[in-house]
Amino acid sequence: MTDTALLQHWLKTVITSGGALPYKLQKAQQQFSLTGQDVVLAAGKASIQERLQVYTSGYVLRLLDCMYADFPVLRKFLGEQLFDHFAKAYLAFHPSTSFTLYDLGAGFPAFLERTKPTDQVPEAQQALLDLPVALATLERTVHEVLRVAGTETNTMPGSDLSIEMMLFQPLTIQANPCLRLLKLSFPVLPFYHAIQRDETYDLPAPAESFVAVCRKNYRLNAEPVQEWQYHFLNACAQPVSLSEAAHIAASETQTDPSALLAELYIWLPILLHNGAISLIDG
Amino acid sequence: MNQKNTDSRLGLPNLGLGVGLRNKHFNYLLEHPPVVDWFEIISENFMDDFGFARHVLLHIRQQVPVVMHGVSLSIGSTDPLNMDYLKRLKALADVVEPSWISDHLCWTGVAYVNTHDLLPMPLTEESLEHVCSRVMQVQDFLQRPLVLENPSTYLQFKSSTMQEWEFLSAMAKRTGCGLLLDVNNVFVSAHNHGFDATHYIESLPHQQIVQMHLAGPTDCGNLLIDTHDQPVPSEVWKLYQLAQNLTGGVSTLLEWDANIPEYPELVTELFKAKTVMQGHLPEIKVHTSDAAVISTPVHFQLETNHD
Repeated sequence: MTDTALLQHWLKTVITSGGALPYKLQKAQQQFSLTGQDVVLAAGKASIQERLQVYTSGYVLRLLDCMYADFPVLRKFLGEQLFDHFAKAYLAFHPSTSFTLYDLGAGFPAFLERTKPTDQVPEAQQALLDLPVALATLERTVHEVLRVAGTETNTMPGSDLSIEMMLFQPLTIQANPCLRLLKLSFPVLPFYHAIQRDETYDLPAPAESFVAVCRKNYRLNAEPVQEWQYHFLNACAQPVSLSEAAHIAASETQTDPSALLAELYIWLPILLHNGAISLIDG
Repeated sequence: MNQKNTDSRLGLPNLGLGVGLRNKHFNYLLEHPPVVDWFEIISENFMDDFGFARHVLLHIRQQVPVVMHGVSLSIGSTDPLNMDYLKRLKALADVVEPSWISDHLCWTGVAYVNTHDLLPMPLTEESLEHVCSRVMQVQDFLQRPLVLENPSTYLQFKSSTMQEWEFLSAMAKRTGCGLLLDVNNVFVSAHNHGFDATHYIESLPHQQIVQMHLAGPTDCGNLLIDTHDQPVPSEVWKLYQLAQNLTGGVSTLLEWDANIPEYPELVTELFKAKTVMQGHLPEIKVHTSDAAVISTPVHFQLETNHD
């Protein structure tokens, strides 16, 4: 290891290790046999500890601010103290390895899932522990959909659907790249909106719910969908005929495909209008 | 590439006065003319954003020049260069056609961890060789000169054998890269380490300074912190005046990344640069704070616009 590499590994250890500064320094000393006095020039009014503290406290506060920006609704729901507790733990166990801050919060919903304090909560209330996970999942998905490539720059219309086309043409459809489908353990969408708008809310009861999130003309569309609609849209990940996608959804939900097709004739124009799917030529 | 360029500003234009393109101002900028001469974007903010942010960027780019300013190149890191990052940087440059691409003389992490901070380099012959080698690689990859900024620093390594201005000068001379002179960072580091800010600026190779940054720091007692959340204080304006005179005039950008004001207010702050160059220094004290403040705020990069 070169001198530069050694100093960088030492400072990175001081910055990213958990605990107070003396503990961080102790850890770095154990690993690299260097003390703060060995590495940092003692000069001027500020002590070596004060100088290091700018980097160590800045590291946590800076990334915590990013978590606030990524999960504002979850933070409102949990309260600042509890959110900070989970977010700091997440950052400590999952330091960023990406050049982009967009990836920082990607693993937070899974982290909340893994660290649910199930042994500290009565069994009857344990389902409620899934609520923050569901909120975080939805919130993360919303940010993702806002940033991924959408259909805004497509030159092909892909959304003009006449009655004649629906009735007399074999339609091929495909989900747009900005469509995300969620299967959640709570009907979280109205709850998410209520928190976002600072409205009063009741805690939702646990129930399997499905949400489709997509974007059209840079506007976000997040809608609750039924289970068959979730499977139908899942089937549209690749180009697929309308009837085949309907059959897949029917098979998944043990429903009559012709009944779903009848519903699809009403729903399809809405899906096209919201930017969830496009019509594929041919 | 990698040839020395003795032209002033490496032959790059003086774009005039610009500000950073920030999410907060997106809707305003779609409805109003930008007024400023050019914009600087945080490259990482737009590399993987193909939504509204990209739309606004292209709208702006149709009107004025744009410069790409990065925060994750980590040119000083002893980790290997991140080629995936460089590919995405180049892909964005192909779309934006920036006037130039800049980043910082720093490292942001090592052992594949990114602290998202601009960490100080040990300033030694060994680290200079290391940085120069990487600057050459990046310039070859991007097929254009890289422009590197002096960071704000809060500690100096005991093992350093040269001053920051000596390091920057040698780096610019050996690689032909450009310099982004952040006069606020000079002010902050000079205060924190007890060197003469004027001497720092006078000692740089002025023909290789391509751009300047202005910002407002916070006085936290024993240290000044680069908070990017305050008006530019008089001392920084004075250094700006000096640097503009020494360089013969280079593109100027006002950085404001936390507590970001409304766009017209931001532009008013920027346009103080005009009166400074006419000899009128604004009387603005350095903001002081006892509260915990953050150097190099980055959360503005994640603020989204749902409408």
